[in-house]
Amino acid sequence: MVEWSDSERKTVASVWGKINVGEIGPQTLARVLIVYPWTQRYFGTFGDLSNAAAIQGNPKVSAHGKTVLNALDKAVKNMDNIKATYAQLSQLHCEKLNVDPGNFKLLANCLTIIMATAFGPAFTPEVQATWQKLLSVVVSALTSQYF
Amino acid sequence: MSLTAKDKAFVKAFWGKISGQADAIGQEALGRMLIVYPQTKIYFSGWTDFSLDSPQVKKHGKTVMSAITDAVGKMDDLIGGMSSLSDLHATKFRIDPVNFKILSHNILVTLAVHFPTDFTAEVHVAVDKFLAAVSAALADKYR
Repeated sequence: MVEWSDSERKTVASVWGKINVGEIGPQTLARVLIVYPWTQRYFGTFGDLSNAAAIQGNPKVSAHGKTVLNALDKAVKNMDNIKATYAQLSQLHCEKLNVDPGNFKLLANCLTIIMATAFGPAFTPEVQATWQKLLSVVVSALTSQYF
Repeated sequence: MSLTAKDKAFVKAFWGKISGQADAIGQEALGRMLIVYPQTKIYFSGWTDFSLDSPQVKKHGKTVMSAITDAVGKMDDLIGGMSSLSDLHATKFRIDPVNFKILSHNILVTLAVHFPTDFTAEVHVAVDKFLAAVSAALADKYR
């Protein structure tokens, strides 16, 4: 089981409390689609993804970005049980969406960078470490039901 | 994933903006790496202080970032231009190349922290590609 110190729990709650999902979600998904363009394969019905401006202005990207980031709330509220919390989502991503789990890491990296942009120096190495630990547990949980 | 003319232009323009703070960026990126990925400390077993403002982190961060800044001018032939550094990393340091990716990630985080408006999505992808190309050039002589 993943161990969390009191300090890490506080950091997670504090950081999550400051994140505007409506802004960070869309920015993160757009960033993934721009920096790792092969991920566009999963969004064939989203319309124009032909360049960075199109992706950033795309309403479907924006809506889906919010959906994805809102799902992170489950981890924040269930830090001691992340694997079970994401079991269904893991099955969905494997069996229905057929998403290569390598993509979860790409999304985690982009989210970290978007957060660094939003928080600036308040995104200290310690905050980065705690946040990346949370994301790697989520990534692991999302991969747990694959085959 | 080779660097296009557009990538090189973005990297050069962005590096022009950050070059004055390159040493500090190198220090912070290295410092973040040692804190967020503690297994990387294994390569610095002689060090006594792994904190962000440690003189050892400061000095080595500067060394690494200077070499990367140098590489900006060698983008047309990174493998040739970084050949001797590759020999050094292959034969003397023997740093597992997975760590190049880890340091690259921490450089990107540091850039995002300090240049939130300039580090746009397009700059991000260009710099990510550049750092990946530098990492590949650095690993070129490994076997």
